[in-house]
Amino acid sequence: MHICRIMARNFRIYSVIDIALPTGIIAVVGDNAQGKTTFVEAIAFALTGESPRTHDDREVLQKGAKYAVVKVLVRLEKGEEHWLEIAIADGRKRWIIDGKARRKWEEGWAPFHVVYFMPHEIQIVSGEPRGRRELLDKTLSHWNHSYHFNLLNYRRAISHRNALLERINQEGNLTKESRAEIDNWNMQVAKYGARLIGMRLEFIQRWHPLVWEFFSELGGVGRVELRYVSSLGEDALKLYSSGKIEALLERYIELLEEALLRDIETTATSVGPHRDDLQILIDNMDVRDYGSSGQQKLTLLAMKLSLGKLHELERKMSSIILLDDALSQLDNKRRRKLFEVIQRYEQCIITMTSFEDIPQPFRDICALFQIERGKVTRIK
Amino acid sequence: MELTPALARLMQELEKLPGVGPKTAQRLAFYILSRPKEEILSLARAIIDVKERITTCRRCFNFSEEELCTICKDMSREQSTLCVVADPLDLMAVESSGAYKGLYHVLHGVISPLDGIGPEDLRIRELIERLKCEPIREVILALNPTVEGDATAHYIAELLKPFNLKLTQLAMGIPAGGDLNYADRMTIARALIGRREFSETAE
Ligand SMILES: [Zn+2]
Repeated sequence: MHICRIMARNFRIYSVIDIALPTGIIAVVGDNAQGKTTFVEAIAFALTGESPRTHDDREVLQKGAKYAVVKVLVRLEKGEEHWLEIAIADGRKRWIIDGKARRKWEEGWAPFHVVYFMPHEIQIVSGEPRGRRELLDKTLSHWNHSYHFNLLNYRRAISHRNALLERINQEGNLTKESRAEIDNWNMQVAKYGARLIGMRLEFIQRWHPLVWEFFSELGGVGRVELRYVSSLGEDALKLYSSGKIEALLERYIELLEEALLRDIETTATSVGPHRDDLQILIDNMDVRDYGSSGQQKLTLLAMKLSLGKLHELERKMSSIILLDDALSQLDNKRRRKLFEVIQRYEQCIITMTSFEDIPQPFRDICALFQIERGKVTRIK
Repeated sequence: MELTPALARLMQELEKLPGVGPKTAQRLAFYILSRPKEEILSLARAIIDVKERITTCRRCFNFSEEELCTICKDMSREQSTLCVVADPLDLMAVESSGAYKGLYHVLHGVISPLDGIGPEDLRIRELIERLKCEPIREVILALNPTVEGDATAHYIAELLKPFNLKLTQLAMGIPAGGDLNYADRMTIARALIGRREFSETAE
């Protein structure tokens, strides 16, 4: 699958975008702050309905604009073409396919996956656990309805349990009745939470070898491992692999009970998937603490590209690759490797400050677009 | 047009109703004004009556105009099966399916700490009392498949453990996160007929 054309209005610094896109590698060149990241963001926004840069859709509106629209014409494998359009107006987002309003991009409609890489995302690898949990939650929610549903229920159950903790905290003592109520919510929280953990574990198990594979392919040195670190402890995870969900559930409830007094004091639930982490190790060293910025970048690229591969292998979905400023901090050898990988895809859009950043022979096969003060033009 | 104080007040009151915005309130107020007096008095009386006459049944807490509701008084209904619902609207939904001939117990809500609603705010204690003295053999938990509905069902299930009775829940069919009220009769009937043993962890 590939994008034939992108059109946008009032998208951040762009008053208008309207440009045809070829297949293959598209190099988008421009100085800093000219709109390269926003160009990639606009494409991702049209394809997924979400900005990779913000949770607040209003942020993509051009200053003073009342609405913003981005649409892309995509051509599927069999030659079928469709317009995917996202419109923001009056604080509402509309999803439109071929001029007809839809409820999001219904699953199974468009068999593609968007791999995007943005510089700010490096905090997924280098920063707090929250970023890694978000990546897991986002990926798995798209992967599987059941995960999405459980995640929403889990968050709601946690909010209820926390509200109850707050009440008990204010009452100042734990009555028999309150205890029964807490037990009841422990069960609900554990029920949804255990399912989330189970689905995360199984996903990571299939994902992790591919991350290592891409990491090596991109010229990374060392054995990459993704390890799920749970606030429930390693033993609980082992229970899951031996006894599956039931055994994990029992232990989970025990842990919630053990944490109760502490949780009442802080009025927050201290164990569960909302406190877990995905540890990324290279040769047993945590890449967050010990990885160089080049290594961290390579790791994130490998994670993102391997997700595309996983979608291709397990769901027969092709990937569109959007890479923003992926080349800086990579040496020439690794840049070449990256191009070897991305040239396998039908279409890849990659931004950089200088066309010279592309190693030969790849410079010759790339289409070249230039961005200057919010204007996109094709050079070659 | 300048509104008279009486008209303005009527519109204000109407706007408090669910689903009624300023525009609708205005339309309704003018409609009321345009109708013959007897017709509007009859509407006003109906509103007052509903509030003055209707209380809840002392046994099942369904809406009723007498101490016992029509369902509780109807001895042809199966006295050994009890269907637990969150509110009278859900009772009506189950009743309209035509697939159920037993008794009901209306909780008047579900457990929801976020809204400050705990078990003591619901008719759960009364449910337990009923089970102690009525010859109930099966309790059907017909609560909405939401986080709060599930939590309430589980809480009740725990309390019912000491009783020697069959505990069931509606079969799949009501979409997860959905509402009994919006399910059609056939779906509710199927969910009732296919009801299964209550399980804490079933999806
Ligand atoms: Zn009754």
